[in-house]
Amino acid sequence: MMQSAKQVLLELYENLYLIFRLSLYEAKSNNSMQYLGFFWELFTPTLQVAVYWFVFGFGIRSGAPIDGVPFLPWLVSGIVVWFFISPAITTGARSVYSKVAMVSKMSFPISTIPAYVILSLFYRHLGMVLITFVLMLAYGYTPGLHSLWLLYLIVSALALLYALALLTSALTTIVRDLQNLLMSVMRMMMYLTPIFWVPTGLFAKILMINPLYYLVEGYRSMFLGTSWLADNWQYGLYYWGVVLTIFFLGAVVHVRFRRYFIDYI
Amino acid sequence: MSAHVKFENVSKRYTLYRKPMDKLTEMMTGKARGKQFYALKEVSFEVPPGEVVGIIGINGSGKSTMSNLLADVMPPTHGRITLAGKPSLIAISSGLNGNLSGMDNIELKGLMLGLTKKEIEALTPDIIDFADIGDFIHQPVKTYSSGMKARLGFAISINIDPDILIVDEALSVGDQTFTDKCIRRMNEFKKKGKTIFFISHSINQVRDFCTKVLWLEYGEVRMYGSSKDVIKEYNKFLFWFRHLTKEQQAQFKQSKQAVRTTVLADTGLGETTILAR
Repeated sequence: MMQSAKQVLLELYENLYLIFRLSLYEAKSNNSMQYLGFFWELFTPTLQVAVYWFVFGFGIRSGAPIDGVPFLPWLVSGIVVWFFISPAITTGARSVYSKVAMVSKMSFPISTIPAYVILSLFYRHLGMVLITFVLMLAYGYTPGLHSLWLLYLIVSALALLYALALLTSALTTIVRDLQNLLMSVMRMMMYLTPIFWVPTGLFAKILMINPLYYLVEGYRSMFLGTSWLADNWQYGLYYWGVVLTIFFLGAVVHVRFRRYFIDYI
Repeated sequence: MSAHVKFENVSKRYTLYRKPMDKLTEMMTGKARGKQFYALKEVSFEVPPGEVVGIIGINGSGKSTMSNLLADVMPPTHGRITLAGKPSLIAISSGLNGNLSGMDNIELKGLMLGLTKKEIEALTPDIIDFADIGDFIHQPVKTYSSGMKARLGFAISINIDPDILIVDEALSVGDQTFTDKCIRRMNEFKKKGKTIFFISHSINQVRDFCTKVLWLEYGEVRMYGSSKDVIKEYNKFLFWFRHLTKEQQAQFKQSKQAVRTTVLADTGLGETTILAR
């Protein structure tokens, strides 16, 4: 188990530059069809937020603030990481399946594929985080020392996403059906994390089993400048425990089955 | 110097699954279900450096599997493959990203083949010159004709200077002037003491260009030797085969097919080793 994990980490480290370049080309290739390219990557989420604001903010909550925070900044500060996690999990899962045919004709490790596919989605996340900071400023939430949590949160998100992608990309290559399952789970997951509403009591405890809960609430706390991240350090430990477990499991499955990937296309 | 490329009892087996579920059961239990089929069976040969090896055989004899094994695209089921250096496969439009321009593809493919940014920059003018597709180099590859794709693919693969070059039917789409250019370049390659595998249905090209020929017949090596001898025998075989009646041809194929579906004793997983140069 340790062996597999070490091997994957070493492959990532040795191919860092390659992963970086490939992710840029991947992002470029995804945007090359449209005239406005990158603009759409920011416009579509903005439109979505507008609809959620209207439906949940005015429709259901009739404009009431949450814990003293107006609904729009509360929503955006949580949903911004979701716009990164959700596509990263689904495209990460099919990354090996969709790229291995091209990549296998070259000599580089398959474990880098999920890494560069996730990284290619990360650039637009940075753009969205920047826009969110501007919005927060407009509502009077000024950035400060607490904004440094962002670096920790980015590392946390990337670690979880890579670990998940390593596992799911191997599994979906072997059993294609899992991709469909994952898509439906991700669609539900949006409502099972505190993006639109605040779970309380026992219900919150159950939902907190999901590590994505930590990321959404963590980003929100960073943007709004609350002390949630520091107060819930035990939950942080749990989060990293989950990440490591998934990573070890993913590394084992990946290393065990990768020689068969090409036969399964 | 010892052999440049060495195959020892190499087999590649596929399972013909009846339903997708069988595939999963095989993975979990390790026991094969469904019919077994050998694309290549117990193939052994050695190639000294500086040779051009033609691989010939009628359809379904395992040539494509052979090119994939040589290029380390997939591992063998059994047996051992030893390659003394990095292989590069030239197949029609392999590994080009249609959404990116020709220039981007040059860098992308170079990176994937393990070159540094500096090395790629140094090679780019040669590649553009060799591909000779004019302003299209800045256009997305999906707008290229099949000839242009082949030219660009060939230009990249041959200019990155691999140790072992595998040309899989890639010359069949180019016109005569491009084919001549490629053959000239491959001859330079040969002089440097590198190994080329040339997979083609054109017996004339193989005769003109190859020093050795490997003749595959239904997954097995029928003959391996100097190109003159093998091609003579191959032509004899083709003549003989064409003059069989339909029933005799079917019978011949069936007898060979029986050999291909007989399962070999398990000798452990095969592997491909690439020696550093």
